[in-house]
Amino acid sequence: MTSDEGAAEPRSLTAFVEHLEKGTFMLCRCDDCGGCSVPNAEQCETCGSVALRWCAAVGTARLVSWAYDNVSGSGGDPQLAPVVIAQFSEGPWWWGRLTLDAPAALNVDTPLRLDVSADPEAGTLPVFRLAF
Amino acid sequence: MSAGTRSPGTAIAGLGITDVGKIFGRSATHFAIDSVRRAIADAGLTTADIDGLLTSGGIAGNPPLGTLQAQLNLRHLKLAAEVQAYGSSAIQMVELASRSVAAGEASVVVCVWADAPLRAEQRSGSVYRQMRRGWNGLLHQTGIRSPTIQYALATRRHMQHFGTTEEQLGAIAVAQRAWAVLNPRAQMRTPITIEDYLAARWVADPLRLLDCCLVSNGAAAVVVTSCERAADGDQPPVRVLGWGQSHPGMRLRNNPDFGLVSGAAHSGAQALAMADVSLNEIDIFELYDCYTFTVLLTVEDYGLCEKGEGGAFVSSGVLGPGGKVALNTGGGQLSGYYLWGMTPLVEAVEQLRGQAGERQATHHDLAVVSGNGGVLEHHATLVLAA
Repeated sequence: MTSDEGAAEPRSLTAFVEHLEKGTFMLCRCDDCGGCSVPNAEQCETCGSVALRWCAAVGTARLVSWAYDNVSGSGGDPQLAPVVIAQFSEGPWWWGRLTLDAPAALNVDTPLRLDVSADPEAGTLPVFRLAF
Repeated sequence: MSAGTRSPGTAIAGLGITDVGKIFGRSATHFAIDSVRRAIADAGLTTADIDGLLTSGGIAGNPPLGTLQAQLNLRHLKLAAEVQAYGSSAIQMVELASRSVAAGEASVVVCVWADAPLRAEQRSGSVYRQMRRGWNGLLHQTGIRSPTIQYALATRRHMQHFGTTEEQLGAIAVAQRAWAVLNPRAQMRTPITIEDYLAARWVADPLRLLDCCLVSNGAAAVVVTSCERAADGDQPPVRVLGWGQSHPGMRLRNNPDFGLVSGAAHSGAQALAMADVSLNEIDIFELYDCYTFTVLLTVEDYGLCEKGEGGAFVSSGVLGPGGKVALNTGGGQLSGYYLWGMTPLVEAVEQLRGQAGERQATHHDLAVVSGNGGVLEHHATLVLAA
């Protein structure tokens, strides 16, 4: 399920981030086949049509794959930060950070939900969280 | 070994490689010029014989075609182009050169790849983590900040789907290091064990430091000409029997094959068919190995084992010196040096010429060379013969 909010507006990164700041992750809906594509798609991933417009993602997803990036923690110590490929309920894949409130075992198809993170340096970013 | 009916009648007549590794103070263009001169001299030719130039490069960008042509004093070229499909570019350059020679357009084509990403004060891995703008910048900010992360996600998918284990990936790293010990050009020549592998730090779990390729400064070039002309050269000709390409695309898109099947499945079969040889006739496999996982996936996709059984295959003792399968006999990019697709190509040429020294494979009549570009986005295969 998607809404038509934002239809026909220019699909720029700036506009995408503006939606994100309001808590909405935009996907592309194809006017010809109804298929869904990533927000920066130039053509429909399903049928190749260029008749695309943005629609708001429901925000639910499932886990496709995951890795743990070795990053520097606040004290400079190495930390493993989870990064995932998630498949939105609408179909498209999105790659990004998984925010865990506590260590958790991950499995293929684990339900996820989209969230918005306000990073003081990087700005507003999409992240995933466990859905339960 | 006779050539298949579709083989182009071309050969690699010259090979040039610079010093590789932490060689500072030289640009990619300087490395490229050096390697081209070495390749031309190796073939017993002069720059006046060259009428084709193909270039490719890495992080530092393609060595500029015009600059190279001017610096090498190459005049009236009949083929000149920059090629960029990342790790599959080296093979694609040999294919393009062979096509031009076979068509009677150019007669002697140099293919060169160069890069100089390392700086004396910079950690090797950091050169692949440069900040990006636009949508890729957004992904970068949300954790997709290096190719290693993306390959780690591909590797995890294979592990989940087929039960591939860390130890199986480690078997590739250990075997290739054993080959590198025998390669005087290799950057990493200290033997490692599976315990060493498991003790190595994570770069991006499930990939450890020893799953990841090196980063090198340097260049390599090959000279492609007709078999007839190569036969009159200074080196044993290495004949080009067949090639194949496959570019699945789907970068960062919904791709059910991601991490499970690569372009090698198509490009390998196509190259073998063109060469009119079967997989069990191949003596040497030089496979693109930006990560251990890339080797495992290519082994499956070429049909050395069944799909999903790559882990069991690589950990069965068939790899490494004395093993049943001569694979990445110079240590590859994991332990040898990282000149992208030129690393497996250079090793194949030296093996087929019988010039591989201590690491010379017992049988060296036929070799398969693979190239893999992007994050499993481009693949190319060559079949070469002594």
